[in-house]
Amino acid sequence: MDTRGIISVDLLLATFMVMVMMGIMSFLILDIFNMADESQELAEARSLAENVAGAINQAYAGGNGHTIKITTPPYLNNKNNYRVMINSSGVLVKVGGRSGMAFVIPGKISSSKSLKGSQIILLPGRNYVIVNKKEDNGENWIFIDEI
Amino acid sequence: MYMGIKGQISAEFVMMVGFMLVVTCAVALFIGGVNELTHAMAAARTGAGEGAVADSLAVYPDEAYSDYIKEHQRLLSPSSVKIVKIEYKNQGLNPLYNRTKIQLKIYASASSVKSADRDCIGERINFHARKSICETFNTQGLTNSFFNPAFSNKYVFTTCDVQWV
Repeated sequence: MDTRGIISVDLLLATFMVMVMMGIMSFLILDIFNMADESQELAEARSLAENVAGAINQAYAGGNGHTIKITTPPYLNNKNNYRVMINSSGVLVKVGGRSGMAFVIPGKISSSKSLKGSQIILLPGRNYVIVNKKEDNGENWIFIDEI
Repeated sequence: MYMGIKGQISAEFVMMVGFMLVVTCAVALFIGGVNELTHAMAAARTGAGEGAVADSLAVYPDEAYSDYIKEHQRLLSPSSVKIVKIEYKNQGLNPLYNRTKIQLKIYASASSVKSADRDCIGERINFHARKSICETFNTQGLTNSFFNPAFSNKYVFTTCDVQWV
């Protein structure tokens, strides 16, 4: 009998068992990876909404002339087709058919220099400035513009 | 008769390989059935977790978001939702689908959410659990848009209301 090239039945059996286990584990791991990927998208959307809402609230709290610069991320979980919509009630992030809202201090928000109320849409990978402006009648507005 | 000294296998080895094949086939059949249920339960856990994450982060599909703006505004803010455990009950062969029926019961906690809103959260958790099972076994075409019931090859899965703990 040749002394080389011999494998035992034990090794064959063990290899078979390991392959079966790896097959089972790969399914479970794939599921978990998919879940992690979806969760990351939701978490990034929530985080963005809260960050923008936080910046607006900070501008409100800072009083007339308070200015904050923000940069929207170019991607949310590798997707660059998300939108951030801002109105007087909150910041809405829409990505991949899902929506998440972060509330802001109720107040007047505008993207026009004439300070007329409107819905503002922030696009991915852009820089914006958030300014607290006081109108002649004493009312404070949050003015958001791209820079 | 000439007999080479290399390339021979013993009769014991042949018998052993034959026996191993028979045992392997028997074990594979058994493991296949159990393994399918294990896969389905793992998929249900993954899906339930996904639903809980969506509820926790308050990022919902657009249609659900529109509904919540009208009726369940509390759900628009993040809350702590955790999956505690998932149990299943074998309800025997379902003659309608010719598959073994399994009912899933998901236990979860969401202490900061009131009971009216919990129903919405629970529905989402159940929906994602069933959806995940269908996606794992690629049976989306066999069921409805709510993935109710969810199918695997040998089992049909339903969910009962989430038990809040």
